[in-house]
Amino acid sequence: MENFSEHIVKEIAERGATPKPRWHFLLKRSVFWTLAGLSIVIGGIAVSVAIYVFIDNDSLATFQNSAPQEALRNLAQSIPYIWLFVLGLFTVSTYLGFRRTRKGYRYATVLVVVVAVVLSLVFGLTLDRLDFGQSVHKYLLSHTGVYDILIHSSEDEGDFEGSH
Amino acid sequence: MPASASKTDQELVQESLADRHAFAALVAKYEAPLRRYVKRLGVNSPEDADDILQEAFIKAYVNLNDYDPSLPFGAWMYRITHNETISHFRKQRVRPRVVETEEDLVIFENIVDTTDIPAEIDRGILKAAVHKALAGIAEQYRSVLVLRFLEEKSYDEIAEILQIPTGTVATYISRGKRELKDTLKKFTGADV
Repeated sequence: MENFSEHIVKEIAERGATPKPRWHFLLKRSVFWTLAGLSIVIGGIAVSVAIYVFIDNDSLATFQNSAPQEALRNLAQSIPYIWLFVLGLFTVSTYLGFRRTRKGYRYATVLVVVVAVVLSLVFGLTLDRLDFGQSVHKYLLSHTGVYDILIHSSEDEGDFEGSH
Repeated sequence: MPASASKTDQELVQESLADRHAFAALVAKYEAPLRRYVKRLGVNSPEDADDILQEAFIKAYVNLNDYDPSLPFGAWMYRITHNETISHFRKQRVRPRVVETEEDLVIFENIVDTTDIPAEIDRGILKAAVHKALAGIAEQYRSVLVLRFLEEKSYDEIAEILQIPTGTVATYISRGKRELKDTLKKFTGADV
């Protein structure tokens, strides 16, 4: 009677199963590393635009002269939520990509998320110094209608972000 | 003694990539512990265990080039078998039924050593209670308890098998023991 190991080898032969080539796995792992890396880059771009949009508006300039309640409201309206949402989305994407790499499972979710956000912030601050955020913001304003709506969705509630 | 017995798993993996017959040595080496593990996870039917093991070994063979030689081959095989078993439960839409054997008590006795559970409860009652309690606790806790206290795997090995951080393994063991203890309390009516 055939034993289990012989049965498995026979079953492998009958199914015509062969080991997938090494490059298949290298490519798969590269895809996840690329996804993680690209997500940090996009997160960094989101941070650089968010910094530009947040700083470049009247409410910050008039912050000290406004009544506390009004100042806080203006501040809240100046926060570019859409870009923070993009940062959040790509932080999740970084986590998912990294988690699927060979040793990604070893690291706690909180640690991976914090490192991803910190890397995006560092990259975003660097891009901001190079005025990259401003370029992206202006490009999107002049080339897409939907960005204008998204970024100024709370404009009717107050004075928000004057420069286009 | 067969020549393959003196070879390392890594050597056997390399040979299997060139010749599928060499893979039989790896199957022979890991069949018994994996069969026992599948049973401990709650697969009662020998036919189901055969199917799970067959799929796990064929999957391992197809993915041999993905095996990281810096890690134990056994842990990698446990991972594939674990995933195949969980997938079996989901496909069948059945809850695991932990086999009622003396083994059930081993998990309790091992846990007793690490908790404040008194061990003087009647063994008959205890056996039935452990049986029900193990089957009743959440899947991730049952898996870590089985791996830790029945398979006697290290935290690092459990982390590798379940693909979770080592810290999470420790958390699951602690929660699993608590959940098992609470469930046992319900079944025995005793203050365990």
